[in-house]
Amino acid sequence: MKKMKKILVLLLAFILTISVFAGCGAKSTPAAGSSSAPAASGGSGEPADTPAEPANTDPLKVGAIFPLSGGNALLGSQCLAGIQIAVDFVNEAGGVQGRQIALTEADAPDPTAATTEASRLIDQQGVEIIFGSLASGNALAIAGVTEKSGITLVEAGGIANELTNSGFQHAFRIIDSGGLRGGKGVEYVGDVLAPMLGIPVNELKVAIIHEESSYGTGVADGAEAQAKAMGMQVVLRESYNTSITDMSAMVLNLKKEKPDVLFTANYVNDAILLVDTLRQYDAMPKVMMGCGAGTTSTEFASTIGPDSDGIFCTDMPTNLPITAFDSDPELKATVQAFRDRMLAEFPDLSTVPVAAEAAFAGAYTFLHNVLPNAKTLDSAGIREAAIATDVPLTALGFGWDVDETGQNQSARANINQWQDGAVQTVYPEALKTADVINVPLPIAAK
Amino acid sequence: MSGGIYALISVGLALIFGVVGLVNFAHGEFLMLAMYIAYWIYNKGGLDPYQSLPVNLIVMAVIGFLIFKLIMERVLDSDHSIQMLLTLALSMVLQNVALILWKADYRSIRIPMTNSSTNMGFLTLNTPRLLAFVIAIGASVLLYLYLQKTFTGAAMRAISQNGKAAQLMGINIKKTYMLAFVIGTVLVGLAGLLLSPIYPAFPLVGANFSTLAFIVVVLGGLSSVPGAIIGGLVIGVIESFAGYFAGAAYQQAAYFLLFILVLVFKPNGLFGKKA
Repeated sequence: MKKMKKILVLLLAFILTISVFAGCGAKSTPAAGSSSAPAASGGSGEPADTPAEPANTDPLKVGAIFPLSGGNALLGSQCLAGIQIAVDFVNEAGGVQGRQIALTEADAPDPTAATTEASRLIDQQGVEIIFGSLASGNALAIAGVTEKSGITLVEAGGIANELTNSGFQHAFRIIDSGGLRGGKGVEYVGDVLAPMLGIPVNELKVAIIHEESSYGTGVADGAEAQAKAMGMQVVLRESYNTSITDMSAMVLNLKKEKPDVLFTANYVNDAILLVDTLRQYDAMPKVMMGCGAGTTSTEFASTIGPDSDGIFCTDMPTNLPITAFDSDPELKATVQAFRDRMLAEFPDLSTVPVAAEAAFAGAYTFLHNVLPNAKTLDSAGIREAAIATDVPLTALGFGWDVDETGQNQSARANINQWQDGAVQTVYPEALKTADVINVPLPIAAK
Repeated sequence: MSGGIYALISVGLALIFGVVGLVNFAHGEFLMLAMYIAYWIYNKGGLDPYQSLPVNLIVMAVIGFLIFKLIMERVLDSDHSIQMLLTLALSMVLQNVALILWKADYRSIRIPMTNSSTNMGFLTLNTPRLLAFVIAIGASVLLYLYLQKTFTGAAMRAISQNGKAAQLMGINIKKTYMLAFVIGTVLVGLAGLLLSPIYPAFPLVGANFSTLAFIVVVLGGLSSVPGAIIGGLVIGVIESFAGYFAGAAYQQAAYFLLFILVLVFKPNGLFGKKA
C-alpha cells in the first residue's frame, strides 16, 4: 500500500507537469487565399508614405491565438474564423503595403497554453502581430510574451483592466476594458433603473458577485467603484472559482442582505448555476445586470428559458443593424460580406456571435486602417501608427482612437436585455432596438 | 447537500481502487457519459432523468463491462504506473470524443422540479438536490451492506485485503474484478444522472468532480467504502460552511486545506488501514 501511495503521488506530480504543457499541440495552417467569399469591397489599402527601402514582398506573418479545444472551443473557432475572414478580405484587396498576409493559428484553452503558443508563434513561426484571444487570462498571458519580444498584440476579447494599465507598449485593445464596462452597467442602473424602481440612488442596495479571474475581478472593481461614487450601498461582494459546483452558501449570504440590484460577471456555466440557485432560494434581486461572456451567451437564455426575460447584460455593441454603417458604404459592404460568410461557414448560427464580430473588427481595422499608415512594419512603426490612426467607424459601430496605454478610447459598451430569448439593446438611445421590460424582474424574491 | 453526490462518486472510485487495485482517472468521464445519456434520453425521448434511471444504469453497466473487457483486463497484471497512465489516457480520449460528438455546449435538463423547493419545517431545500442526497446516500449504504452481507461482497472484501490468498480460497478473481468495476461504473453513472437536473453536461464536467472524488477517497482511506461515504459528506459540509462564513472564494481552499491536514496528521485517511 505504501508503494502504491508513492506511485500515486509521483503520478499526480506527473499529471500536474503534463497539464502545464497541455494544449500545446496546435496546428498551423498557411494563410488561405480563400474560397468563394464575396470579394470585400473593402478599400484598396493604398500604402501611405511609401517606405524608402526597396519594397518587401515577403508575406507579413501574423498569428491568431484562441481556445480551439476545451470548453471555449466553439466560440474560439468562431473568433478564428472572424480573423481568417479579415485576413482574406485584406489579401483580396492587395494586402498590406503590397505584402500578402500569412495567418498561423494556435490553440490556447488556458493561459498556460497561451504563453507557450505565443512563444512558439514568435520564435518558430516569426509572426509580427498576434490577434487574440477571447479570454482575459489568455490575453494577459500573451501580452507577457509579446511585450518581451516587441511583437504587437491586437486584443478584441479580453477586457481585463491590466492589459492596458500595466504599461504594455505593444498591446492594443479595440474593445472597452472591464472596469469601464462594469461602471457603465452601474451608471445605467443609477440613472435609469433606480427611478423606475422608485428607489433613491443612495438607498439602492447593491450586491456584486463575480468569477475570480482577471475578467470578473476587473468588471467588479469598475462596478464597485462606480457604485460607491454614485452613493449606492454595496452590501455584498463575493467571488468564486468557475469550477464551483454549488452556490448555495453564496446565495444564502446574498439573500440575507436583500439587495435591490445584482451586478455580476461570469462565464456561461456559472451564470446559469447562479440564476438557478437564486431561483431555488427565492433570492433573485429586482434587477440583475450581467456583463459580457456568460449572461450574453445564447446558451444562457436558451437554458434558463423565459425566466431570463428582463435580465440585463452589458456588452460590446452586438448585431448592429446594418444601417448603423450607412455613413461608410465601403465598411457597410464589408460588414455585410463578413456576416454572410460567417453564417455560411456556421450554418447553425442565426446571428454572428459578438466575440467573433469583435475579433473580425479588431483584425480588419488593424490590417486595413492602421497598418497602411505605418512607416515601418516593425513594432515601433506599428505602435506609432496605432496611436496616430483615427478611424471614425469600425465594424463594431464605434471608432478606433487608441491612446498611449493601448486602450481604444472610442470603445463603448451597450446595455442589453434578454427579451423573448433574444438580446435587445436598450441603451444608448441611438442604437436602441427595444424598450426596457420587466423592471423589477417577475422572478424577483417576494 | 452536495456531500451525498460527492460520496456516491467517491464510493465507486474507492471500490474500484480497493478491489481491482486500479486508480481510475477516467472516473469523472464516466460521470460525464452518464450525464450525456440522461440528457439525450430527456432531449430525444422526453423522459426525465428519474424515469430514464433503469436505462441509464444498464447502459452504464454495459459501458463499464466493455471498458473492463476490452481495456482494463489487459493491464490487470501490469505495473501500477502503466494502469494509471492507461486510465489517464482513457479519460483524455473520452473527453475529446465527447467534444467531437457533442461540442463544448452546456447541455442542461430543465424539468419543472429543477427550481422547485421542498419545505421541511425550518429548512427549505431544492428538490433535485434533496433527492440526489437521499438516493446517493441510500445507494452508498446499500453497497456497503452488499459488501458486508453477501458472498460476492465478502469475496470483494477478501480480494481487497489479500488478493493472492483470496484466489487460493477459490474466488474467481477476474470475475470479481469485473463485477467491482461494473458496480463502480454504475454508481458513478447514478451520480451523474442525479446531478443532471442540477448541473449541465459538458465534455470537461468530469474534471470538476473527479478532483473532489480523489480528495474524498484519500480522506476516507483510499479503499474504504464507508470512508468514502463519510469523506464525501465531510467535504460537502466543509464546502457549505466555508462558503457561507468565509465566502465562496474560500470553498475550495477550505477542503484542500483539510486534505493537506489529513495527509500530514493521518496519512492513511480517516478509515484507512495501517500500511
